[in-house]
Amino acid sequence: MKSKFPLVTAAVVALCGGAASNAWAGVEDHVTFSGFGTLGGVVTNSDDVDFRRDQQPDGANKTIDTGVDTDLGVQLNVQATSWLSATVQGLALKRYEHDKNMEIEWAFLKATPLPGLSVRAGRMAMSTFLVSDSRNVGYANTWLRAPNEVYGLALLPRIEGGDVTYTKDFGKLRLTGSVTAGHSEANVVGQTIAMHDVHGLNLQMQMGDVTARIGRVTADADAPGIQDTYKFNSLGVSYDKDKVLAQAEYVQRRSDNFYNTVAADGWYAMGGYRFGSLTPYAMVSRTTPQHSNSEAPSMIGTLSGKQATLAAGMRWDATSFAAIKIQYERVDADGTNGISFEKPGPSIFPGLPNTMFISVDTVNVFSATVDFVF
Amino acid sequence: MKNINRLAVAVAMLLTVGAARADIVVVVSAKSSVAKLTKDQVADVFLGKSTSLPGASQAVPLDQAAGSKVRDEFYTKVTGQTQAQVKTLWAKLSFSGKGTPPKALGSDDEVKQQLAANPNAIGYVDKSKLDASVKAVFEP
Repeated sequence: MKSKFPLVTAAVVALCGGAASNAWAGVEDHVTFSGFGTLGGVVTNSDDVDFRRDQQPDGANKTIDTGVDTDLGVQLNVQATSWLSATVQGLALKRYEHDKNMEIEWAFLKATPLPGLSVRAGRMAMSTFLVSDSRNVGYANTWLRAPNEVYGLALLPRIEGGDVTYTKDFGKLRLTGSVTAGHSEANVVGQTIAMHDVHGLNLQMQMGDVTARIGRVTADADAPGIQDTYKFNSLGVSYDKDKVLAQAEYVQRRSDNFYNTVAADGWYAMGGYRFGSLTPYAMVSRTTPQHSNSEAPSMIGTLSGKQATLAAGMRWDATSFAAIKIQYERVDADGTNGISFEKPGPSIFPGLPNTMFISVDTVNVFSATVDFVF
Repeated sequence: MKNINRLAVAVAMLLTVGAARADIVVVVSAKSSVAKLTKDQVADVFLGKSTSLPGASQAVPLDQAAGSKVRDEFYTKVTGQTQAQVKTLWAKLSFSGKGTPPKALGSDDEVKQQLAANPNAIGYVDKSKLDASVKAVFEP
């Protein structure tokens, strides 16, 4: 496996650490320390399976679980000059492997040599969705958690490499384009797979209250017995004006050599309305596995089964630094393995979470969180 | 007589309410090359959508204390957003490394001091605090 801490990442951490400890008094205006977190509890009406998010190894059942949504992040930002900055973010949350719960999520240098142009190098979030960078920052979002039917499909949450972003205004229209290249890791059913030649392309259009984006990620998977090209296409649109907010995204996950295991489409639509400090919202989301007849039926099952969720929730901006949220979901996996579930007990792959050869019908999920920033 | 007293009390209350609803004005340093700004130009800088102003290379927005009347008034009139919405937006931007929220200062006088020291800074103060050290660039 590749080094977990490449040179650029280490350099950025050292730079931030040095600036913070040595010269605090002198550069106070240049150094920002901030943090965010979520305290959450989830309970369902089923003891047959655990409800989880992303690739978590286990989750909630009839006993309340605090691991699904709880997280804590701290961030240090050093604005060295008007055109150069460094950002390091540490993030603790329940991940696919327990020894990886606390990680340096990002560490990058950002330069803005010309107005509208920015270049970053280091470890950063992979721009795959409307909410890629801040999806773990509960306070920054209306929903309690991003819909797993869409956000749970992406296997590359971050990248080590670089990106170039250019923003240009045309009257009221703002266009942003960005290209990304580097390497990464994917976690699939508890297995870590090195991903090389990761390339990303993002185009975003913003006009008044409407934002639309389109993106594509490709990457080569290289592991014993797995030679493959992974592709992820995404499309999103959001609207936010005064009291009304609405958002929808559609994604496609594809694979060249394991199509019938990997390929799936996902979409969601969400709407909310602000009544003062209360924002009730509703969301519908769906994952549909895709099948190719030109490829033999998959012997290793499908990574993601069918799943549809109806969710209703409420965000309450209770104080100036914290928001309280509740969310109810009716999750229907239609007798497949769905995408949000893990079955406790012996797995077909010893030692790995039991997420593929399981059958789930309808599960009711109730969640509550307190999101804060500091 | 009783009615006149009541009227006087009512007028006094109205005046108090009027005074409590601070009239704010957006200001830059008197030395700044920025002349007049539109509502959208001011909003873009305070909401992290823009880091420069026409006529100046860079814009450094200055906030007032969270929960203060001037701050409430500024964001309601200029951005049409509540404090919670603005804070949510900055959480989104700052925790994705796209910017840091404006520095919050304790009073109109502190804002004016900072403006005098930094020609790129832009702030907002109670209209009654305008003086020769600052230049009004937008009045909602």
